[in-house]
Amino acid sequence: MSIRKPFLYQKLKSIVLFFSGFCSRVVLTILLPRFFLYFSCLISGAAFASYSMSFTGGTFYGPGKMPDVGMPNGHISVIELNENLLGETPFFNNGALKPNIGSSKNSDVWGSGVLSDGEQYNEYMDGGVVDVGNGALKLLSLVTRDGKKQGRQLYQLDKECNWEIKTDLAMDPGFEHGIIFAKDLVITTGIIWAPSSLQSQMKIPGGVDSAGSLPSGVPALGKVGDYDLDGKLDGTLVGAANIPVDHIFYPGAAVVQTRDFKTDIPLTSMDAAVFSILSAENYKYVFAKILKGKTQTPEQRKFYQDNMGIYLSDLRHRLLNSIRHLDRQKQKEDVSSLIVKISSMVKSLEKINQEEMRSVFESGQELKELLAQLGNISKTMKSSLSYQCS
Amino acid sequence: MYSSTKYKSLLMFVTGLVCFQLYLGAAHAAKLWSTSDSYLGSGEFYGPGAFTAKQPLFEIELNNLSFFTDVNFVTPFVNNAGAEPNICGEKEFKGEVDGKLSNGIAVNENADICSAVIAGTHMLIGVVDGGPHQGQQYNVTMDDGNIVMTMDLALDLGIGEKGVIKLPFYGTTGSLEVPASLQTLKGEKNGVDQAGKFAAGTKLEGRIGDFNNDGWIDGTLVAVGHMPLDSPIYPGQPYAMHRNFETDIPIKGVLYGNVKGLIANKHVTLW
Repeated sequence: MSIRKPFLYQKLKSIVLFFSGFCSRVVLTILLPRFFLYFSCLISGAAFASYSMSFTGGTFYGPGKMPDVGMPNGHISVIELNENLLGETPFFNNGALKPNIGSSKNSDVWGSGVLSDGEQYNEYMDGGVVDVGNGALKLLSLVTRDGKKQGRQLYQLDKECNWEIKTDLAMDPGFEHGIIFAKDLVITTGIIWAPSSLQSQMKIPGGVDSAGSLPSGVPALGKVGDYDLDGKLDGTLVGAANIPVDHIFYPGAAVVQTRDFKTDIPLTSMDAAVFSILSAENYKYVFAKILKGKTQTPEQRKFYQDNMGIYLSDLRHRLLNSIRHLDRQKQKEDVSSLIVKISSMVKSLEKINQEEMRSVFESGQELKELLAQLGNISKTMKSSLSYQCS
Repeated sequence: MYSSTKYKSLLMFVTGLVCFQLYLGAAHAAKLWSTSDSYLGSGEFYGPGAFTAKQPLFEIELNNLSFFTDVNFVTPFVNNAGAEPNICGEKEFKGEVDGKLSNGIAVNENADICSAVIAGTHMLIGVVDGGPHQGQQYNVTMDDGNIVMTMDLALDLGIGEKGVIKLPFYGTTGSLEVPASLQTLKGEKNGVDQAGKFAAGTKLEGRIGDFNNDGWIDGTLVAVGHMPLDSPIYPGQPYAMHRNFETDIPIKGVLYGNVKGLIANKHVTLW
């Protein structure tokens, strides 16, 4: 004979089980990471402060053969960082109540606080509406809660002092089947390479190996520093992903984004100068690829030939930016030898004119010497950076 | 009473008439096709909008073309659900083979259309029921000898009603101009006024004749249009196509393709 437990007991038991499951989920996914973050900062003596970031431009390449388009403006209203630029944007969502992200009001298709599949997104992050393919699709760029980070966005400096952002991105066209997810996405101020299509990676036919005007395998370069000379951190973030192979839009195709950003994070002149040099040093990866001419596809070779002038000009711009910040630092410490060395590199760059650029692809001797100099200066200056790069 | 000789002549005449009628009946069930094996290939799709990559046009076979005059025909609506024959695209595309698009609209299975990748997106394409043409495809020959082809076409992304894009199709062997976007036509500023490499206003020319000299009518249809404003992709943006086609309709046929010859030769007409 079985003994039936009283009804009230059954009810109480189910309520307790529900809340313990709920609480354990909240603890594991929200409270515990924040605890470790704060605890580590407590031990290191670092303090958290809240900042914001604005997206001011950039380019969306792809997917596939779709034409390149400009990135919209956007905003991250809360970034909690310690003194090593380590931190996160915590998850926040209050549904249809204010505040809401501005871009969701651009169209009737986007509900307040939820994606088209009903999942919540982080209302601290408004990535703007990307007009993909020049009118083909309008995608609202958001951080979804449906990912390992549970809607948070994480920030850190990598070992080469590029600033990394880890996120679970969703690009929502306004209906569920059209949402493009890029989970565990890493966006950086360093360098990324345009991926090949998933079909090519899986060695099956049907892939398109370009992201807009970028053939697969060519770089997109970010940067970090203070390029508008306002005393605050700014730069360019770059990221790449593939549309899932079972998606309805351009399945498997590669997408690359560059996003210019500004923040209200204060940056000293010395740190800005060092960041500029370290960002310039990322060109060593680009030129290493270029100088290995035999491994290039015809599309890649043409791309490098067409963009060589832009690379050299941008490299020069980064070096000049470093000089400008070192100039501001002159009164505090003796940086004159550094200024002389960097100025010498700028002059070398100016000498590589259009005629000689063809020879870059033949032997690249001037570039190799320049990169060697840049490496030496970078090593010297890195020790002056007030941030610790992991 | 008839002599045996006269009886035989009468029998031969009636037999000839019956055969002629049977020929007529068989000739009514003509066929038009546009495939990669056609003369000059199936053709090319342009756009929509700023999508400029080269796109071969999806293949199509129109079966059982039924002439309701000597120069005009209709592709009658036929649909037997999941039973064969089914259109090529359904077998290629994801989902159930049931004679319908993913929103439940039936397709005309006499218009055997293969699926296509348009602007990077794989689509099921069909001539659909429920529109003004009631699933049929009409072909009319104009006074200048050019043909006009109309039908209710739909592109299906396979995700239900939201992903079914209805395109009223108007094609001709004459000429058409690439239109501006619907946004521009409405006076808005964000329109993309091109169909692939063709800017709005570009004139596209078709042709009809026997260009491969095989004795049957062939040619090129041109068609232009807009993606609807509620389309999930390229809303309001123009597209265009060159459709090369072949037929089994003789260029110097008794009844088709050579009306002047018909009158001159005083062949029997049954209407």
